[in-house]
Amino acid sequence: MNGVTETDPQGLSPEDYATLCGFLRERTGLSFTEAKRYFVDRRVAARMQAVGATDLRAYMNLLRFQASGEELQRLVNLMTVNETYFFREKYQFDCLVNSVLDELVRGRPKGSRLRIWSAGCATGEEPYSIAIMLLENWSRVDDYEIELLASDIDSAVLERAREGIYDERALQGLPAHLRAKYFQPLRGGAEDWGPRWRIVEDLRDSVDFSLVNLADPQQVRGFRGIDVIFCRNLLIYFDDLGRRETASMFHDALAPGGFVCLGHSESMSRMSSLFVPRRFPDAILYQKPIDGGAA
Amino acid sequence: MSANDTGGPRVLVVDDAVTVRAFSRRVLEGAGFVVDEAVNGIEGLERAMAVPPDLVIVDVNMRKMDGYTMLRVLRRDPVLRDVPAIMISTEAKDSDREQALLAGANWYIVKPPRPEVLVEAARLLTGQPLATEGAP
Amino acid sequence: MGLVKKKAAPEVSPADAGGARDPLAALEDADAAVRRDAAHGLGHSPPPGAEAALAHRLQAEGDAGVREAILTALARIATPAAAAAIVPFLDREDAALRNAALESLQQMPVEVAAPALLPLLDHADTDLRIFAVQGLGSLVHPDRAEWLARVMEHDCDVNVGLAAVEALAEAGSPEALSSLETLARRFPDDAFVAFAVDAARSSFRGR
Repeated sequence: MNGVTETDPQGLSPEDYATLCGFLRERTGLSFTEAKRYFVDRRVAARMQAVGATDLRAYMNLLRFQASGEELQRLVNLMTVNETYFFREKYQFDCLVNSVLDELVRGRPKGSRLRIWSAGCATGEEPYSIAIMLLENWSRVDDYEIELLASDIDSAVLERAREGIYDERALQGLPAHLRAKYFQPLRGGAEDWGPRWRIVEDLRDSVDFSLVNLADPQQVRGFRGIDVIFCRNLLIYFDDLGRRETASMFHDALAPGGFVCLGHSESMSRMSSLFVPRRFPDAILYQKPIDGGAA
Repeated sequence: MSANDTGGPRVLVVDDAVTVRAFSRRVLEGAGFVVDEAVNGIEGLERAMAVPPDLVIVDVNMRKMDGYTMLRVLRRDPVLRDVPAIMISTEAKDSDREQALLAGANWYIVKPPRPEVLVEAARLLTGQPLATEGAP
Repeated sequence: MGLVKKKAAPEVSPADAGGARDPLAALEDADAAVRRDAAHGLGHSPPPGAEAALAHRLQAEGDAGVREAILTALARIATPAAAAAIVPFLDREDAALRNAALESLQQMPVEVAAPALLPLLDHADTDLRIFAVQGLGSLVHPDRAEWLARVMEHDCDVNVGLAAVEALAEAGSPEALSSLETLARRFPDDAFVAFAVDAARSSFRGR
């Protein structure tokens, strides 16, 4: 067993999907169309495995009849918290370009390397947001060689990340001038998609996407000397021991003094003893102590 | 809570025991302090960094980050280094007190905490008038 | 400079050299990354004797990342031998280590953790008894209420009894009422005991 909750590649049947969406709409007001199919499948499969439900009927019974309503809440959290888009939780990117990078390069010669890893990058909004933030808002971006690594356990989302095609909703948080600069409008395609946009080639080439299961040490071995890891809203899929192991692996992948950014509702205080919180004006991040050891 | 309105000194209680946090809150709020809570050293640092307290009360044994480690980190933080700290522990040996003071504690209380001791130590370390001096 | 364009696969790290080696030997390697990988590997596919080797390394290990890898590996192995290997670390002088050791025990299945922790309820050291109560109190086991009741009714140290009250405040049921009252009677002048007993009582009253 590893800590990652594997998803069922088959997903839910069309009937099951309709049943579940009907239930969620009735109970929570949340509405998921067929276009959200992948998004919903992935989360439901993760929760079914976490609670040991063998089929959707068993899981639906839990959702319907559990007195505490806890499982429904968990599922809803996953459905709502994890919707990703450009510049999501932007204060962390602000923190990166306003404080963290300047601290990291202090004492490093110009031309030296910086490595940023988006772990669990899904469809790519996060690493591309980082790329745009760096180019737009970090004045020393041209003084350093910046490697942007991005990984996910899911080959289908990685394919979409590499393609870099997004709908209007994903781009909502982007100012118009950035949209004009880094995206090209796409024509054609199915009618029900609405307008779509593609990341410019130059930016697509700047992110190195790879298929990685964070729970497999062989697969993460290449990630070494990382300066900043973004791992937001991913570890909620792991059990306690899996979170502890993954945090431990991040500790190993980071250079001394490197940082981890978690989602705003996540805290290292529930995961690992290896990191120390650090306050910056824009955010609180977690740092691997310079001497490598615990504080 | 009314204590928030009074704007008394802010105390951050860091303890993994819900009963200790609740007890400290009741006793300290009753004495005019504003109380915040955290369940271990990491969360304690997060809370302190988000809203710097006037006093921290820190347990020793906690999962993820123990009280000694938390105090050592606190004492290196430019904003928090001078925040007074009470360490609270089940251990009553001299060596335990010594270890707490070396980690950066200003005061040491042995569990179970007595309300009047908690309040007097908190008043002393936050510069409030002591009960014996006839507090208002 | 600026953003680096896509390049070849990530560089090979020195740890790869240890990949084919005996993981028990790699656990004693001079390179911390090799030791960490070895511990992680042992956690997922432990050969006979892995528990003792991990515990032996933990005694001397100074690198926080390797220590954490060893403790999570033992939690992952979760055999009676792994639990027994962790127990001696519960009374280490190093507060971070003893707390991480307790956490690893708590992350093991109940049928492994409980037998390792139960004997500590009778240990002469108060702090070990408190750890035992905290550990046992966090487990889901049919005898849990009984263990906690025994502590509240008989343990001579008030803080050990309070650890049991704390466990009940987190998750308890009305059958614990009489032992809670016994504890309150045994330490009648302690305001905190009265408060904690009340808190535990009200946490499950009305459920």
